[in-house]
Parts: sequence; structure tokens; C-alpha cells
Amino acid sequence: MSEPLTRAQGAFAGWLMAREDPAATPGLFGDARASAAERLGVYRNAYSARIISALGDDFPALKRALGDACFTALAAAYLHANPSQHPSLRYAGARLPAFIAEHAAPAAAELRLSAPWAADLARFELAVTDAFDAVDSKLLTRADLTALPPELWDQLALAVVPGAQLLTLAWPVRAVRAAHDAEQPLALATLAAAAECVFVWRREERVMHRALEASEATLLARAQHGVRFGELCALAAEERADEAGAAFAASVLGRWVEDGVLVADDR
Amino acid sequence: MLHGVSLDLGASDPLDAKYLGELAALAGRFQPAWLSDHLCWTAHRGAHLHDLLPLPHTEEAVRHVAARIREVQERLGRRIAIENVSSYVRFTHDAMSEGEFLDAISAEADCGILLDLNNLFVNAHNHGIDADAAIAALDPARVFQIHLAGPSEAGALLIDTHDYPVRDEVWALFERTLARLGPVSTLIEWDDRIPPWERVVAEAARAREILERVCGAEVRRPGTAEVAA
Repeated sequence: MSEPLTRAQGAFAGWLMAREDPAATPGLFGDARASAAERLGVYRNAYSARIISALGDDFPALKRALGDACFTALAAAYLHANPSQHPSLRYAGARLPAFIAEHAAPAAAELRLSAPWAADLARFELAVTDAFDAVDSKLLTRADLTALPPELWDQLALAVVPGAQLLTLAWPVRAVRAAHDAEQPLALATLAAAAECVFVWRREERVMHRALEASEATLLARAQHGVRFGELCALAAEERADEAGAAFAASVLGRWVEDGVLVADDR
Repeated sequence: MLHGVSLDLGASDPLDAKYLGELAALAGRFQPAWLSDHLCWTAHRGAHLHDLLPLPHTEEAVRHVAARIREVQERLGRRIAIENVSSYVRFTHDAMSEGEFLDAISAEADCGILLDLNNLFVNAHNHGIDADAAIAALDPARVFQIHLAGPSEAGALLIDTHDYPVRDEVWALFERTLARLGPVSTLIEWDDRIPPWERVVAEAARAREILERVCGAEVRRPGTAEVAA
């Protein structure tokens, strides 16, 4: 490793990521066309503008709901606290929901008071992105189930499609994103807290989402880690506290297969 | 061809083994004719800056970058090409010209060159370098491909934004470059403000006309390349 180069790049990276213009830029050359500070300014402006623009693309309803100025201030504070850690800009916003929900920075703390739904909207929009570019997989089909001998049903291994997420949200933010996608007013003034459990997944080229009852969410959470149908029935019986557990497990299994939620797990 | 922005050939962090492994798998799957990335750095101590950041033109940087290119080439089992980038700053300790820097690295790493003529033009404007001298410094056999594009203006500087037509000065540089290098595969880049299809095709036709006129050879159209039996 060459030390002078490492030090020079460390200084340059620091200048790009700093919120204030640097007081001095030793090693940079300025001339009659442009000073060293003006030249560095091209990179400083591009650094934040490029990443904040990518965040706006990944959280479009949040950006519209907050307005450009508020979103830009939020994104700048987030970027300062969370420099990108992946070669692809695609992942630059991975920690934005947690930043809004938990960070002490004024841009996040004030947002929790003025727009208490913002963290949930960010979580939902991140889940949409994560589902959208998850890898393809071979779905479990109704024909697969029909072909399965009855004595093997207990052992049927179930797994959920890659990139799918189960979210517990305190605000009905799906409606905000849906209104944004449909180019309709966002109706934030009438948004009221209402907890829901939401499942987000991709089917072919469309990201799907729906609300789940708590008992189905419990079963799906287990299926996300891989589960055999026999185990799912036992869990369903606990959930329902009655003898209809197997029937409930069979009904959710049918729904999941119809929705394209399950993959053939060959364990 | 596969053209990347994240190999981080000039950085001081170790090469990203995961990225390199994924790139090797991708190249194995698609078998591109060329695989290229940029002569720059993009990350430092794990923070990705998502820009093509400039390197000082020093012997130290030549040795550092060439060693990393060799490491990449060994991992991929093939030669790569490196692209010269636009820049907005120069370093007070630069010890060689842009052409000498590019030539020294490509020779020491034994890699190809993706020669971006718009980037040379932008640097000529921003730093007063001599673009023709930079081209004269290169080994013609190493130039795999040429890129053309149009920059935008920000105050007194030109910015490499790929959102304007190729400038007349770059077309002229393209002619002089071909006269020196002979026929080289050429790509015109548009990233934003993409014009109507007819204007995109017209720019490609202009490049093809110059290639045929200067090099005196019929240029193969995309999709008509011979495939080995």
C-alpha cells in the first residue's frame, strides 16, 4: 500500500463528505480558469447531488410527501450519518428507514414529530425496491401440490420467494404510495394511525403487497425461515387454539401458492 | 462488452473480492469481447463516493494502479481495458502528462485502453492539456475502443455529463485519432436528455462515415460480426 496516495485520497474523501467547504485544500492546483476550491466544488456538489437524487428515485412517495426541500435536508443529514457502503447506488438508502425512526439528528427527530408516518413510508418503499430486484425463483405450483402423495404432505418443505418482506406498520402508508403511483393527491392531512401487518413480494415483474391478519402473519414469518407443512399445521393449531389448525394451514397454503409467494424448497 | 464503474482500480482500499467474484461470474456467463472500467478511484475506507475520482499523475500511482490491474486480470483470467476519465482538479505534485500516465499504466499492467476522446477534450479545456499529445503518447495496439460524448458547462469548466451532442472539436479529434490509430471500435454515449432516435442514429452515422473515410475500410455494422465456427 502506498502511504502518500492513501493519505491524499483520505483527505479528498473527507473534503467530499464534509458538510462545510474545507478551509484549505493542500495539494490541489488552481489556475486562472478556476480556483482549487471551485474545482473541488464540482466533486463536492456531485457527491451529495448524485446520492440524494438516487434516494429520491428509491423513495418517490416519501419525497413527494415531504416536499423537495424537506426531503433534500433529510437525505443530506442521512448521507452525512450513513456514507454509502456498497459499490452500487442501489443500496444507498438501505438505512434511511432506521435513520428516520431512531437517529438523533434534528432532520430525523423533527420529522418524527411533524410526519410520524415517514419512517413507515420509507420502510414500505424500501421493501418495494428490495422485492423488485430480488433474484427469480421457481415457484411452487398447484400442480406440484396435486402431484404430491398424501403421505408426503407433512414433509413438504416450504420457503418464501427471495426479497419478500413482512412489515408491521403503524400507519397505512401503502395508500400513500398507491396514490403517488396513480398520480393522485396523497391525502396526508387525513392519514390516521392504523397498525397493519403487510406482506411485500414480487410476482413476475410486479411488486405485490397485501395486509395480513396476525395469525397468517405468524405462519408466514415461520415460512420465511423455511418450514415443513406438518410444522405449519402444528403452529396453525396453536394460533387457532382449536382443531381447525390443519384446515387453516391448508387454506393459507392455497392462498400463498395462488399468490406466487412460495418456492419449491428441495431440502 | 461489459463496462463498469466500481472496480476501484485507483483506490487504496483492497480490491473488493466479492465484487470481483461477481464480475468474474458475469464475464464467464456472457463472454464479452471487452471488459473495461475507469482509471480512477471511487471509494475510501469503505465509504463509496460514487464518482470517478482523479489520481495524481505520479510514479507511485502508476505502480499502485498497475499492480491492481494485474491482480484483477489474474482473477478474471483475461485482459481488461482502462478508460481515461474527465477531471476537474489537478494535483500540485503531478509528475507526468495525462498521456504519459495512461501509457505507463497500460504498459506496466499489460492492459488495454478505452480511449474516451470527450474526456480528453474536457481535460484539455479544464486543465490546458494537449489532447493530441496525449494520444501520441499511447501505444496504438493497446487501444481497444473509443468513446465519444458531449459535455455540459458549469462556469468556466466543462463537466462530463453525456447529455449533449458530440462537439465539433471532438469530431475533429476523432479524425486525427483514427489517422494515428487506424480503425477502432467506437461508441457514442448518452446518459441523459437523450435526443430523438433520428439524431442518435445520425451521430452514429457521422462516426461511421469518418471511420470509413479516414481508415479507408468498410466498417462492420453491429450484428454482422463474424462468429467463429
